Amino acid sequence: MILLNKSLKAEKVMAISSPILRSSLVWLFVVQIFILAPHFFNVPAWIAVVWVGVVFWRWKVFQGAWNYPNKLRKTLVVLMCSAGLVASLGVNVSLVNMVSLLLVAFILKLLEMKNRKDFVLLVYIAFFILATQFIVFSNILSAFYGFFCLALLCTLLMQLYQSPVSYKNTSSHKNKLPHKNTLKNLWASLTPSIFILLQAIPFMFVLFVVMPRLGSFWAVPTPQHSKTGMSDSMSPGDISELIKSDELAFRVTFNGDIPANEKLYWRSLVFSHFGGRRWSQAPQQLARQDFKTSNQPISGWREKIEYLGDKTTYNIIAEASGQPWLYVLAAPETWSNDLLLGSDLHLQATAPVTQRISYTLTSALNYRFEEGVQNAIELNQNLQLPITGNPETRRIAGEWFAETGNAEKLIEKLFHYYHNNFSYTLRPPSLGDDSVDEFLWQSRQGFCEHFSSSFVFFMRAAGIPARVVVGYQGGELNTVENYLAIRQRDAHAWAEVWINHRGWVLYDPTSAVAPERIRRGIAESLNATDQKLLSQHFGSSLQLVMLMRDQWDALNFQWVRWVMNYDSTLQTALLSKFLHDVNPLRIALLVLGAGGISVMLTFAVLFFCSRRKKISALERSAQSVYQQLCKKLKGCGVAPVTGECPRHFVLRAATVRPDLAPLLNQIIDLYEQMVYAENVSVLMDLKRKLANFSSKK
Amino acid sequence: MRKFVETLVDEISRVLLGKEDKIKLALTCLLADGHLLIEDLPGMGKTTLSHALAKVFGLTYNRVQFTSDMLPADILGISIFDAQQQQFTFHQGPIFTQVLLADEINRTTPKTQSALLEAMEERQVTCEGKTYILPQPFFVIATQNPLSQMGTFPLPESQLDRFLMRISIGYPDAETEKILFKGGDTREQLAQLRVCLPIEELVELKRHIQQIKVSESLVDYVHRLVNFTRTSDDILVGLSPRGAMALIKAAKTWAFMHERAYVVPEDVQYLFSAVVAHRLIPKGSAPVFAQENLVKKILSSVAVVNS
Repeated sequence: MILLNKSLKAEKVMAISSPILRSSLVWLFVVQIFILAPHFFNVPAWIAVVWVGVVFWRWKVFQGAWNYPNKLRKTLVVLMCSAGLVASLGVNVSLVNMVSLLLVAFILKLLEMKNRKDFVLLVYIAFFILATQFIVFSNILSAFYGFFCLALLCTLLMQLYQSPVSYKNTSSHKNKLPHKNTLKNLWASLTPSIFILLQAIPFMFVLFVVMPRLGSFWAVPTPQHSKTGMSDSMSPGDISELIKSDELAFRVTFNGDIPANEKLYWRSLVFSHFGGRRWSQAPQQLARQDFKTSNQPISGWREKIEYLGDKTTYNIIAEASGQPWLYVLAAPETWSNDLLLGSDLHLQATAPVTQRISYTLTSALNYRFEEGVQNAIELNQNLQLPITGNPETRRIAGEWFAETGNAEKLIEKLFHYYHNNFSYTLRPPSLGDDSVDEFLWQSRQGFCEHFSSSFVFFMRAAGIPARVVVGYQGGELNTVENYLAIRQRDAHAWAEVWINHRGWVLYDPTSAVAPERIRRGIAESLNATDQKLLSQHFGSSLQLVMLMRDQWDALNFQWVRWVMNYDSTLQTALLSKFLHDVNPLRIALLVLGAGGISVMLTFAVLFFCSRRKKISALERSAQSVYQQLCKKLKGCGVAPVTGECPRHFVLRAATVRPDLAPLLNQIIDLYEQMVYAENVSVLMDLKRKLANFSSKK
Repeated sequence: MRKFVETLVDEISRVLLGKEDKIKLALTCLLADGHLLIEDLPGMGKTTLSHALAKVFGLTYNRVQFTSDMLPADILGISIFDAQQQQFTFHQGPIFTQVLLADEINRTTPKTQSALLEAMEERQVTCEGKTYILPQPFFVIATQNPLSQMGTFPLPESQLDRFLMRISIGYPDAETEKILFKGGDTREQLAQLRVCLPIEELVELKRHIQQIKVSESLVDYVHRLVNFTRTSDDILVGLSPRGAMALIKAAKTWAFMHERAYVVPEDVQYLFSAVVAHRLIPKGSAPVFAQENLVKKILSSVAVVNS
């Protein structure tokens, strides 16, 4: 803000219509590269080509070889770019489209930039463009990158207001190339602009803490495409595809000990409907009235949850997934108020999660939940099978059930069968129409979705209610910050079986085949060729790399936790901690107080730093005094000659204007005292005398 | 303090008339612990000046006339076998004095020149493995004739660099010269000179000179000057750091002599020619005057105040 004011003031002084210097132009191009670069991860690539073309054109204009585009050409270019935008992005109003439009406009504006005023305008737009890059990236690196870009832009502004002086200087030394010198100036002014920004940090921090946080309507949504995560259905191959991604799904911090790995079943969705190949949610599961918030009075299905044993409280920071459902451990007792819990114990947000969200839950890891098969509709749903298909399985299921006579024994038998005959692999052979039959009795190779799917099918075929649960299992412990990072590769599918008097019981058929998957994570459970299919640094044995990755992840976690997640709730909590009663007056006082203190601290630091560099500060003021003196004596018709000592110069003026001689003598005595005896105390006196000095008769 | 400078100058002026400015330069050179090179024609008062300087400070004085057949031992001294004591004893040469006038230094061979110049720099003499410390203070005034160069060995730049200043005395103006003609014998007058500043006070003065303030701005100015000599197209070899340090040292002394606690650019400019001119090598086969012109050019092209 201060910077802006300063520049606005300077603008009045500066000739606004003066031409743009070569160095400013080159610098602008360079800054544009830095500012546009992050966007190219998101917007169509041809915009980069447009940029190159426009820069070339503008450069030719600068050289005088080409002209600014006339109206016809301008219209043509704009039409072409608009057509390009429509062709590559369509006409819907989305964030990417709007940003692309802004970028194109920003780039094309170069062709309309004729004088300094346009240049300044373009720089201010660049500030806005800089802010939009956080739509694409919002981690800690991007914050530093943004800071760097900000410094570049400030440098550009500073350089813009400095250049006429340096230009004059360089043109007087004809043997030096002007642009060489000004480029040096640029680097010289990068340091002060970084310094200026650093000074702003304390106040920025204050504003960050107290500025009202805008609600989710104003929040920056994450673009929805290209997100990986659980989808609303599951068919063979879905999860094995998903686990090739190393992308972060969510992070968890526990209040207390982290439960054992085999307890960590992060439930995302429950699938009750089987379409022959694809599992999905049944219509009842989507019924809105079944969803409960944490603060609703406990009624309906919530009454039937019986919490056993210790409860654990944990906080989850979920990455944007583009889907509403979230992650929950076992049976939650309380959860963040704005989230809904379904009767199948899956948690979801009221809208698709398009930005990181943080929520806290308390769950009982051991529970009993007898709900969902009370009436015929529910029972049917959890026994539902396609009318035809997989006859072999249906037959054998019937036979085995008759043999064992009880669900638990049947499961034991089936698990035994899995354990002895199956292998766990990421590359199962493809399955035909009767996928369950083929998997169970022929190929016998598969991944968790095959096991859970076949298991639930088998149970249902035997007349036992069962359903598929998908989510994540396990997690990687970050030892630096002691949290679990759950990545897409931890994706998992398991099953729940209704057992009389016990309710829904979790069964994981994968554990029968690959118990190490559940105990120690995915990396341990695959053979070497399968591991190669996974993302490359996952499974890396290099200790240092792993440690660095942990550190980096921990840093990002803190960033997300304290910066990205700082919302109005956290703000209110924080403010009420300091202010007790949050009202506008107190907030205003806080802003003034904290802001004042931060500004004063900055000044104090600067003051003490400048004391150390007293001489150079003295030199600066000496220079300004001398320039003032030259200006004033110009009124007497005396100008300094190169190589002339200040005293000689002033005394020469005194001979021209004997009436001023006494004052001039005093001034030069004081000047020498200040500059050559380095006596700072005379500075005020000298300035006063100079101010009184007037060459007018 | 001013008093002592005035007394000294007045006293020396009794024998070297109308040359107050040169006397001051010579005094500055002595107080700044530097050696002086006087380049002038014969009969201009070189000997008188050096002798007078030694007198007013109460210093011992020796004069050596340099010739082409001189050997280093003729200046430094020689070890002679003492038959009575059955050992070599060192006989000190004329260099063992406080003020040495090395007349026509360019007449002698480089070997002898370098023996002297080494002693000037180190302020000690090493003879046959033994080191003898020269008396303190040690001040060499060398002279050379700029005109008749026949059969001379011009001092190389490296040797010239060891002289803090090079001055020429020049003809006195008409009035002074007339007084000079009327005046009596210089030798007699020299003998009458009083000691104005005992040696203890000289040491004290030097300590004061050390404390003269050299501001950042002034150092910048000197650096700009030095830099200019190194980058100028007219100069083959610019000023060495030793030269620049000599300039500042001389300027400090000059400021002290003018009762200022700090150096101003005027001091530097005044001394610039004397301290710097003989250290610069102009491009092309330029005569001696070229150096003087060069100095003027440097001073008029380097800004005093950085803006």
